[in-house]
Amino acid sequence: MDSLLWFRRLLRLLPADFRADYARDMERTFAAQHRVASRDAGLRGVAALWWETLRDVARTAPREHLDQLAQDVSYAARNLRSRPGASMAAVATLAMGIGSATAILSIVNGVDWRPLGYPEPDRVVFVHERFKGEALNTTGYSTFADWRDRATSFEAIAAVGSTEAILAAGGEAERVAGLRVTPSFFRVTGVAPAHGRGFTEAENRWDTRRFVILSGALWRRRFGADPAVVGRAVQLNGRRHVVSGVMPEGIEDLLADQLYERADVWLPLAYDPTLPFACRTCRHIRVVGRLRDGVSPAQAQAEVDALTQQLAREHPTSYAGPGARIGRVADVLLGPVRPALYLLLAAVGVLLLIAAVNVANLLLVRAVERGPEIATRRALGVATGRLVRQLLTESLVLAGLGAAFGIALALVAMRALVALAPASLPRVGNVALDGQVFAMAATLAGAVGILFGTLPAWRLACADVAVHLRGGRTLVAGGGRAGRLLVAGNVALAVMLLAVAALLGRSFVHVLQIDPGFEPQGVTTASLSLAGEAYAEQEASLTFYRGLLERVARPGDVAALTTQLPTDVNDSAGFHIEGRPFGNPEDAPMADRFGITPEYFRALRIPVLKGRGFTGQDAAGAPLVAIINQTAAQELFPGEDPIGSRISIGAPSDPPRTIVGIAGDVRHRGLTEPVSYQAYIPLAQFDDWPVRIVLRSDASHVDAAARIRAAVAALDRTQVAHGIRRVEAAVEDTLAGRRFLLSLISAFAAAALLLAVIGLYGVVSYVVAQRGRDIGLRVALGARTADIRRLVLGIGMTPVAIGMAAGLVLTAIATQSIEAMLFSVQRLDPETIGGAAALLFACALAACYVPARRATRIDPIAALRAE
Amino acid sequence: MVKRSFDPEPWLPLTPAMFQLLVALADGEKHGYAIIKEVDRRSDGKVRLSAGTLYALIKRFVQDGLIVECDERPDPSLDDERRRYYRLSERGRAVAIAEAERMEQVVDQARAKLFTRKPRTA
Repeated sequence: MDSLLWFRRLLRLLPADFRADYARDMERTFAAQHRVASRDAGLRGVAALWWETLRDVARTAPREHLDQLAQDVSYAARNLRSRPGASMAAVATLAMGIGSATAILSIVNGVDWRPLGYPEPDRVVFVHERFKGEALNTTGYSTFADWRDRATSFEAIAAVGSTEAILAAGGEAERVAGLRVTPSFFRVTGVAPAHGRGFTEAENRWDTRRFVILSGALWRRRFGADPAVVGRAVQLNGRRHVVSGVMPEGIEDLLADQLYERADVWLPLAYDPTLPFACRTCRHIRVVGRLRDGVSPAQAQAEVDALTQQLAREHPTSYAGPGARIGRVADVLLGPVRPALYLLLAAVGVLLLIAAVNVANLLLVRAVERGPEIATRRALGVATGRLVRQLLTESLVLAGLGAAFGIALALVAMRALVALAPASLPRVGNVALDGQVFAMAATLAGAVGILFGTLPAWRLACADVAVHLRGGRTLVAGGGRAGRLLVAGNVALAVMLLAVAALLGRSFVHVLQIDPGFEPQGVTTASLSLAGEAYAEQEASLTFYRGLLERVARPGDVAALTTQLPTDVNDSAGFHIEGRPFGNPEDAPMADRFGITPEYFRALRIPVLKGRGFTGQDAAGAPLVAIINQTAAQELFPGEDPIGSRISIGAPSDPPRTIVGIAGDVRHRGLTEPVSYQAYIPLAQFDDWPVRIVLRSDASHVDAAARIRAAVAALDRTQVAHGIRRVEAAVEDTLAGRRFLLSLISAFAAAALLLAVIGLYGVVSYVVAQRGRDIGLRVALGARTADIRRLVLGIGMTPVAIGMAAGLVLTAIATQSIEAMLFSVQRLDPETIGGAAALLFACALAACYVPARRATRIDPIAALRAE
Repeated sequence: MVKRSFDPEPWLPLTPAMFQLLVALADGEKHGYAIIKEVDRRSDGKVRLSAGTLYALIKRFVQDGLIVECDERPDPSLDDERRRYYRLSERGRAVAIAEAERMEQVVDQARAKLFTRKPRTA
């Protein structure tokens, strides 16, 4: 009967045990019902019977499966309780592995995987101008305007600059930072003001630009979240601005957070192309765009690339090696941290694998002890599949307990990691143990439970029943062999992790030994940007700064001003040597440009190697002078003395300056980056603001900071010094990323070494215990202590040797991915990798030595009698 | 030897399907299909057992000792197929009786409340 065939298939939804007991009866009952239904009501009756049957099985099957699962969990809990020591060791090992993995997952999820706060963030891109093959972060306004007018790949394209100002409202003044944007900026990000509106093109002009949009946080803090603030006037830098909108609260603005200080306010860019700083080669604005639906970054890049090359043909002296590069905002801003993030994820994955293998070894040992119990159950008719399911459930219960404790551990670890994370790690505020991370941790626990549970479960469920019931030990040799194989695997993984940590560590030591070219210790810095009409003229600003320097420095102190710090360089300009013009001025080399007061070199202890430093005579109106660094002198004036040569820093048409000195190189762009060309100009002869004060003092940083604040306030209460910090801290920040990565990798490597050694100790101890009779027999037949020791060491160190060989192969593969992170050390450096392997070998030897000594003390008579 | 008295309370209340199954076996051994027919007849079609629910209940009651599996034999009224028979155990009978008494009590309380007229106040 076809119906019966379908009914049999339907019964497969029920658990196998249930079917084994009742399937035949159910089939016969159904067959009888079917006959009666067909006889009494024909097709309608059969259809009604099937409908009822389907509903019935749909209700019954899940209940029966859950019931069986509850039985398995209860059975598993009983077994775990019967061996509390082994169970706790397994749970602790898993908690460490799963907890570490969950903590790192929460960081990777918060920093990289969680979508940006823009709608369709994959369409929001940076548009970079290529200059001499390199993609620049900024471009000139005219280039942006041409892209905007001619490119078709963008739904919207905008220019972005930074700004800071003194906001005065309600009698209070505070410094605010923000962005200057073209009106299309909000269409690019897709985030419009929550109250009011964005800017219009009419407001984006130099003469009509006095409008401001507030951030949600500033609106709540300063204006009491009053929507009526829209349309009200506030004072920014002493000028009246109308509030045209308020941004939504709680939005993540990666652009502002990563590229600029933050965004308290948005102002119209209001670029005036007639002003001197609006030259096509004045590259100081960023460009962002939203791609049209269906346009890929590659397609947009091809278009803008061709456009830029066309611009270069139209303006041959304004571009060099022209082109464009388009990059998704997320890729550009998060790309630099991804290698380190994914290295951490891989390392913690290796640690979790080692933990799972250790637990598998524990279960294998336990499997031997449970052999008779399982054999009895199989002899009583329990199916192999059912046994495997029960044993796997035990593994999953262990994994679940490990996950529960692991998540608690992860919460603590995550908070610690966030607190210690370097400032360069973006989106740290997003790091949280949310539903997504929780789901990943649960999946990980399930996968780990199946991974470490499958081998022992299968071996146990399929072992020879007869042998076990007779009291045989077929699993002894098998368990020992499998255990040693797992040990070899753990050793291989531990060697790889140790080698990676050692290479990163050696690299870091090399970086620490690099001379930055200046002495950051004992120096405090603060930023100043004088706001207001009173400082519209350069002379007024210079007067302020002279007064500031006089007030902050005490006897023995050295105070100076600079337009940029060694650790925060973002201004560079063309370096033109008089009499050596380039056909295209843009082909001239670039130099980092610093406007400084005479005490700058003394304040930072940068040596003046030749010629002289600046003096008070190098003032506005005096002959223009410059100092260059040693690398610029050697490479741009090979075999010559550059002192007395004349150069222009900026455009070739800028008034030339005479080189009066050569200063030592400073590693401005990072300790591991090549030294750049550097050009120093007297601040009085430089017209680029704002400035930073640097104060070298024996006083504490707190005292120095207080002095700076007090001096600024004494000169003008409406001005604010900000960003007050130790220069040494700024240098440490450049190393913070490496230090953070190294700390975590080292911790994981140490944990991996510990787990591998503990696992090895466990397996060797187990084998010695199981082979007591053999050892006793050998001793009885004349084996010496050294022979027994050699035997046991051989049992333990053979898998170690195999594991180390495999580990070196894994290291050769794995280090390819960290090559870019290494400094001054080869990825296959034999000394470093050999050292890591030697450390593991020594620890493994120590782990085998204890059971080896125990084996030498076995009493042969007692051992033989025990059997 | 002192026999411990059996307390049926932990099993109460029974669902209608559970109660009808136990009652169906009260008058003798039956196989699965016969139980289904008996329950259907006794409840006027209000309680309909299908094979899945029936055998899930049988499994549970066998495990708990409320019913006992008997031998397999054909049912002459049906066909030649051998069918497994079940009978009510003493425990099962005690549980069924306790459930019946519980329902009787509930009905009595309901009758007392619903059908008693309160005297009108002046």
